[in-house]
Amino acid sequence: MSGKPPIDRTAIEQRLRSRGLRMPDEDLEPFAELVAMLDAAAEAVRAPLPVAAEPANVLMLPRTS
Amino acid sequence: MSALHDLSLAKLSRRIASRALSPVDLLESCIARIKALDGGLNSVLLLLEERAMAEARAAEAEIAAGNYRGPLHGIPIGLKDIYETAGIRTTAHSAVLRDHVPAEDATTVRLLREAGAVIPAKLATWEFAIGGTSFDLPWPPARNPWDRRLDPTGSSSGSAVAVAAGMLPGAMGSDTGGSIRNPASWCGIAGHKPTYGLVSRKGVLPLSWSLDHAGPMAWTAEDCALMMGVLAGHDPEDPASAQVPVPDFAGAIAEGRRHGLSGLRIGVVRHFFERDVPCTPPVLAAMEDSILAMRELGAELRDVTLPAYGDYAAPGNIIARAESWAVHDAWLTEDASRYGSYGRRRLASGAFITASDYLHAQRRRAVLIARTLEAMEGLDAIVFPTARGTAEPMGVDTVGPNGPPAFFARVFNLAGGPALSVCNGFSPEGLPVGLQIAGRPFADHLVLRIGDAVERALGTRMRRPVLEEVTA
Repeated sequence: MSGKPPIDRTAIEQRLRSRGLRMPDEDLEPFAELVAMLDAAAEAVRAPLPVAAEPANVLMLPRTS
Repeated sequence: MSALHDLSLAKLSRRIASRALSPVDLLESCIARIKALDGGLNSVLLLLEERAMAEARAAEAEIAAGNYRGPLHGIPIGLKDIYETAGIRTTAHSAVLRDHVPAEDATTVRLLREAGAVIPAKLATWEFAIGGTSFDLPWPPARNPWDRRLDPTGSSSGSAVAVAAGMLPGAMGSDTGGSIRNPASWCGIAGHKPTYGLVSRKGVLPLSWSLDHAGPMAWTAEDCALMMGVLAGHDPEDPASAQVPVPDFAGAIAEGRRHGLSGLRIGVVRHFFERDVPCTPPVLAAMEDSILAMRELGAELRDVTLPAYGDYAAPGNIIARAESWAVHDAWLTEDASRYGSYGRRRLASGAFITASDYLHAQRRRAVLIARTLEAMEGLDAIVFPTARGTAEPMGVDTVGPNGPPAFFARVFNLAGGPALSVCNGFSPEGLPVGLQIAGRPFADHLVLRIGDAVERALGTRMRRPVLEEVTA
């Protein structure tokens, strides 16, 4: 027993189909783990931020002229 | 007298400049070593023996005629196989681009050629600089020269391996989430991720536009400084290229050799390696040795607090995966089976990130950059380990969701400032450990100066991997 909850194959296959993607069966489990990690990351970045935090600042930073 | 393959790029360069060494002899030595050793290391995807020999002969003739171009003249430099080369196959180590022959050189390749460098090889990489150490690609993965059972990690795996094994004095890598610094650490070499915008990415196959950096990998920080002297500068063909004065990298190294690190203020990000991601004993011991050495060299050191290392992970992963999906979506939806398993999974995982999440990640990135720079206020550089431990067995997944992060790289891909990895020690098993030195944007010269001083103080550049000839 790995202790990991089983993946919802139907759900992950549905998500893949929605983007026109296909993946070999053996890829599904590790792929679902990656997607779960990114889902959690997306949740984390949605937390409130100061109004002044604009993505444009990122694009300007590396330039000094 | 040391064998040529034990000498740093800088030492070889000085011999060529004084005409004590012929570029042809140097190239012959590199090619002989590649042929003898690379059968067991797999760092070279394409050996350009005839072309390179013509380039070395031309360099030799020019230098003999008194037309020495500078420190890279006649020096063999390998290219990670995501650097486009005119008329030469550029595959990204992938079946997808197996037959891709670009019409033009990448800007950095052009600059290297104009500086008189010789290009003898295209080098192994993780597939499209993301795919992991894979055994289902058209070419095998590179192996760590300190122990062939171990992983060099990536993605600039071939570049790190070729340099560490003394097969090439320098190589080009790329760094989106540590892909220069991480293999530099596990292979015991120096790797420099320049400030975002300082080195052109035009003609380097993209992975994640706002995180990608092109940069040098070599035996020493001084070698990287010499390469930066050729590579840095504005490129109107790279939309992210900065128009800023280019620092005197070699001058900064010379300054450090005259004055040590006196006058420099260096922050130690102790919470990264003691609390956020606790490191292994050899890494912790090498950190303390490095801190002591920097202090003895005259630097003023103090602990500094950045946002927790984990805070950088979520925006870093969202931005990296969303941008790499944008690069690869057409190919993946057309036929994902052409990718290796690692590459396919990692690239396709970005397919479900929404525009809103991407923008929130960029907003969070802006806040993290501000906090990082604020923490560095009054400091010339900050230091922390490159990796949590030493090299792990071939194929171990260091990017996946399981376990603590293996590397401390993401911070400066997000923040854009320079970050260098140098070898600062060895484990009891003889495996190299890396120190990361990061600076404020465009202070690459200071970072390289500190790296050079640390390498020399700790004496880590006297030790090379012991290699036996392997032909298969």
